[in-house]
Amino acid sequence: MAKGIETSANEKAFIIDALTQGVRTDGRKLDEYRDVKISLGSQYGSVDVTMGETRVLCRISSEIVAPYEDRPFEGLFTVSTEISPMASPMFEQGRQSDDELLITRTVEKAVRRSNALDLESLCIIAGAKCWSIRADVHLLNYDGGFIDASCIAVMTALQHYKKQDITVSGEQVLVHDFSERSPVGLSILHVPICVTFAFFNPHGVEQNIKGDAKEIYVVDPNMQEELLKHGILTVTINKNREVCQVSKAGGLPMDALTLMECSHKAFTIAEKLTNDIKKLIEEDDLQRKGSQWKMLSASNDR
Amino acid sequence: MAKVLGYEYGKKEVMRTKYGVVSGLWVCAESQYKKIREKFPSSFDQSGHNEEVLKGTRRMLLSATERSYLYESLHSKHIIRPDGRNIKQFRPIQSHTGFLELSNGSSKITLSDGSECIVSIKAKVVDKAQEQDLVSVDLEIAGHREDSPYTLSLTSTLQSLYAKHIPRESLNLTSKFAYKLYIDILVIATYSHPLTMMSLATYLALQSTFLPKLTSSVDDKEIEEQPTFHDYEFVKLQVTVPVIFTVAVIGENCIIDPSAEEMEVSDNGLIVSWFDGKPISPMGTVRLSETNIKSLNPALIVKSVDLVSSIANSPWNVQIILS
Amino acid sequence: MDGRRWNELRRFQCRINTHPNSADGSSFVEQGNSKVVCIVEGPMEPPSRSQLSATEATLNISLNVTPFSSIDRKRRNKNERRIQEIITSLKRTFEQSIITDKYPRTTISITCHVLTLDGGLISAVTNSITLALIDAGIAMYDYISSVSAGFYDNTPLLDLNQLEENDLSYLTIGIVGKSEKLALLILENKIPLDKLEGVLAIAVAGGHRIRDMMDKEVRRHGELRLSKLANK
Repeated sequence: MAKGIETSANEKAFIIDALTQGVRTDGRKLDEYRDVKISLGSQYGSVDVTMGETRVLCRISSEIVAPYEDRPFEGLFTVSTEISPMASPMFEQGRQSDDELLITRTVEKAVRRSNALDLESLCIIAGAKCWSIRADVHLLNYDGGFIDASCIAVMTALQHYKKQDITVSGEQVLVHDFSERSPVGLSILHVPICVTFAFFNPHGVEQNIKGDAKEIYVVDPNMQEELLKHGILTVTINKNREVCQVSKAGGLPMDALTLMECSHKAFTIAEKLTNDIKKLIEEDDLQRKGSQWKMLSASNDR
Repeated sequence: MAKVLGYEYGKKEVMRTKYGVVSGLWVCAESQYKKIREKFPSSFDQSGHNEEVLKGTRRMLLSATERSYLYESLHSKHIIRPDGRNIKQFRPIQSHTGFLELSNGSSKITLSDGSECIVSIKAKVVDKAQEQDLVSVDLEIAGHREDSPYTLSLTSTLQSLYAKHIPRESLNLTSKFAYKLYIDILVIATYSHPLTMMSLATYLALQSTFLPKLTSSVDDKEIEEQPTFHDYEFVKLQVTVPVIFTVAVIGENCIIDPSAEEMEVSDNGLIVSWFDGKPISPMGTVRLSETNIKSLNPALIVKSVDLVSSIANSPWNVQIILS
Repeated sequence: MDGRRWNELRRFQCRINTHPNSADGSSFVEQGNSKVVCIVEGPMEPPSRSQLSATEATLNISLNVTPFSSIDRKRRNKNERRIQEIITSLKRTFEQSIITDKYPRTTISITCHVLTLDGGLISAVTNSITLALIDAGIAMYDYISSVSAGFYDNTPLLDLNQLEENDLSYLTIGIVGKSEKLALLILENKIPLDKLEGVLAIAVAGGHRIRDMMDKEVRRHGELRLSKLANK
């Protein structure tokens, strides 16, 4: 994937050497997550997440469609990720590289396979009509941690999104406008958060296999670290202490104990992020309610 | 080398191994080489170990000398084939059947040059009114794309062959329902023309196919009911299956089952399908080599068919059915 | 579910050098009812210049899940995302365990055919690749043995079959040799964090058992070869 962007041997040695001494180039500690800035759009379900220099935009949309034949009681949920050269020149237009495929699949698995969204609640008439929810993720700027940022963006957007209210009478479905009836939120079962760890092996491969040398791992790698990494691990976890997904697609072999250590660290981070997101959504809700009341009140400001 | 090739042999052997019955058509390579070694020990040095000799057949690139030697020996009146076979002789074939639990019938064929092919037969109950063909052939050749012209043309050849010659009655269940056979052919490796190998493997798989026994009534014209089947009793599928033979033509000579080198120097190739004691379509020429394809004397087609018929009508055919 | 105890592996059988004439390395692995044939060719000259790396070998993996492998026959698309993902994961795993810098300017091509599938797709394929690579005589740091483990009602379960896989959450790991190092780890459903350790522990133990069985087969084959040489 690293096309166009190369790190010089000097730089490489410097970064790895610094890591062995527990220092990262951007001044963070080894297990420090970057500050996550989430800003909600004016419309329901549009979220902009910034982590360091990484910027991700997520937009949720919905429509009414026929469900899959083999799953008549469930709605549809698709996540589509768009990685274009806009984010970084190393991504090519139109062609998906192995890395991009892994990124897309991990985000999809984290959010969709873990049943974060209650699909059964999306059913309108069994076998005939259901809601189809679509999350479009766009990567605006890339500085590592795309999986983490997209996952946060999708989950925040899902919690923020509200769809039109509907009334069902027989086979007829009536969709109410936002002004007619207040919109309803989606039913979210849990909030999975992805935490990515990058592994570095400052010594030779032989030492690592024999177990003489311990690998170094850092939380939430930035682009430079991601380019130099020897292995990567993504843990998806929610605040109920449930691990939803772990993917370690090859790379540097690591200890089972290290994995447990990473999972526990991931949990702490996930817990904090989940609470932050919840607070943010609640604040936004209050604000919107406030403006709504203002609109409905009979007296005008004079 | 000439001394070795001059030696005549050609006995039929059937081997039984722990995997079940393995039919060795004509002479098995191992025993062949052993015999030759006993007779002419001097012509075998260290590298004469049979594994190396067999591995040599993978080589497709021939030097000018090799090419002309092969061509001359295959072209001459007293034909000498590089592996010592006579013109009606197949390469040794090893086969297993019934090793895939999830399929109704399965077979695996390995040729002496390492070519290998696996066939699975799966049956599905379908509504007769909705299905045109009760046989569907799907082919996958390692190293070729599924939509490559090579794979597609072979698939259509086999599809039309089996769809035409496997009688619908043999798959009939009730007046409404019938079995549909899905024939999946997976070619793991191939060094010579794969049609013969594929058709023999399919033959074996179909001969060893067992379908669940019908327990509900055969006539369901009045009653609307789904057919029900016995839990563990099976009925053997009774069909006669066509087989395809490949013949290489060199000069005035026709040889059956050409190996990779023989294909490389051949003038032209023919495929002859055989069913129920007579030749049927598809029958035609095939490209066996990339270069030097020559036009075919019509008399040679007759000669090839005669060659095939002498093999197909000989008792070894019975041998396959038994195994 | 099928009468095994929680820490019991399914019948594991393997053979190497199954296709001596058609490939440099080959293996056949049976894990329960899952059967996988793996063929390795190489190290050889790459078919195109673009695949060439001056410092190390390039790996090419293709995975063919045959349409007749599952109970219901279904045609699978080769470019299915799940298959592509597995291939990428396997490639990354074996790139680290093959001593790739021993084979500069070459490609090693690995082809796996899944004949029947009854759970444990990734683990059966991983084991078969390891064996075929050994048979091809390609230098590796150590065995990569792989096994899946799931979790049901507070009990961890080892080596799931298809039915169990459909209903339970499970993970698949690939272990390096006799160590506790994980080369591959894939978990796709929910497992409580506190149970993860137990599941991992039995998976690691199961992986070591599989490694031993693979090692036995390799040694058996080695001795067979040796005796043939001695008799010459």
